[in-house]
Amino acid sequence: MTSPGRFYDALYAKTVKRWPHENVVGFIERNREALRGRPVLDNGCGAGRHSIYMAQRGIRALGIDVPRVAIQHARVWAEREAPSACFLVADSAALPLSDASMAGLISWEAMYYGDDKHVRRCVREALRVLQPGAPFLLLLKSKQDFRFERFERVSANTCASEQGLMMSCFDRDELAELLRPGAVEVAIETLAHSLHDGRDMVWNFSITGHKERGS
Amino acid sequence: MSRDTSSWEQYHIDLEQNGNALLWPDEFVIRFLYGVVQRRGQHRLLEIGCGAGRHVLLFARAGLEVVGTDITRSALDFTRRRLEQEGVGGVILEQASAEELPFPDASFDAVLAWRFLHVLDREQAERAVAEMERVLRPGGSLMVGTRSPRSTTHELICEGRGADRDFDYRSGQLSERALKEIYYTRDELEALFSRFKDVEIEHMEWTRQNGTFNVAYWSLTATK
Repeated sequence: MTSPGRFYDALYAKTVKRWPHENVVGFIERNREALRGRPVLDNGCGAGRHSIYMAQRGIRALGIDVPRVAIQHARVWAEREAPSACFLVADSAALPLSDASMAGLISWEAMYYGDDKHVRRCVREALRVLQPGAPFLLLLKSKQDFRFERFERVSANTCASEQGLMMSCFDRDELAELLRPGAVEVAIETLAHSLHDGRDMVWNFSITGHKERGS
Repeated sequence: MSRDTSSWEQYHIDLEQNGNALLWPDEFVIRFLYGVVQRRGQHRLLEIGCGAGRHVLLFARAGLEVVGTDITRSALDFTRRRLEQEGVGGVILEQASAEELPFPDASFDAVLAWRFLHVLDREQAERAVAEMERVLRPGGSLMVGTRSPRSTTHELICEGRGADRDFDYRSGQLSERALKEIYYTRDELEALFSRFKDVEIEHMEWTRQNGTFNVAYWSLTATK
């Protein structure tokens, strides 16, 4: 995996996403009764927009991410607007959490970075820490994304930018397969938009489901 | 007010009662705010068709001087209450038709018309676009969202289905109102906004019901 330090320092110096994404809001609102007062993992929380939203909605939000600069930003922000939100520097492929400890999980625009082995490990880890029946929301990248065509292909599912940042992409069937062990009621929705006056398509999948009950 | 607004009144009342109102700003509009309006140092913004007020709130919080209009009184009432709850003052809200804006020429630096153009018929849309141009200052920024033909509802209409169905927002079944919506092609949009410069058109789409139902919009930005 690429060391993301410099990349993220530059990113967070430039932009901080301040507002929760509509899909995350919809997911939280649909599951709000089940999640209220309970721990939900924001896996790859970035500067913290979704952890803060969840904390303000009465959920015990735990945000984790790799770049220290993101976690620092999230803590400062949470101090002002949602003091109950917690943030940790941690790796999604090796979560410092016990099995079945989380009542829900979101991972928005985070889990597709890395090679496909890494992404598969992250998905397995996410399902490991979820309680039986707990809902999750993941954003993963589609092979229709323009970067997958344009970047150098390093394996069947993985491409790398010129800066060496790796990104893994899947089609719908591969995703269903990826989630089959451990997840139920999986719905895979497209979420796509163009850039550069319609020339390039950013193509994602927004995936919801539940951890298997009784596993 | 020339148009019948009662179905929109009901729409907003339903949304609010179901806790379904669109409360958070769209990421494209956020990019317009930070990437265009603020970068150009523009301060005075009009949102036409502000609905439940999610973008009015975004712009006001970013320190802009904001005016919002909607043809629907219940939407404006909802927005007014929300601004009060959030402690955001200074926003002017007015009930007005997009075809006849109650503002002088060249009175705004930026105009947003997010996802309502498709509910107007073609002549109304032309008048609405002329109004957008009229109230913008030269050099002013415009952002418009409207439905694209990649929407499943468009396919249903093309197949002649849906005409006898009741409106169901969640399942995407079509109401009489939905049947009248216009799905502009990229070329038609370019023609509609041909008096503007720097026109850029992006496409966005997402699905519901496990990938079987497509919702698709254009997002157009331009400069007067």
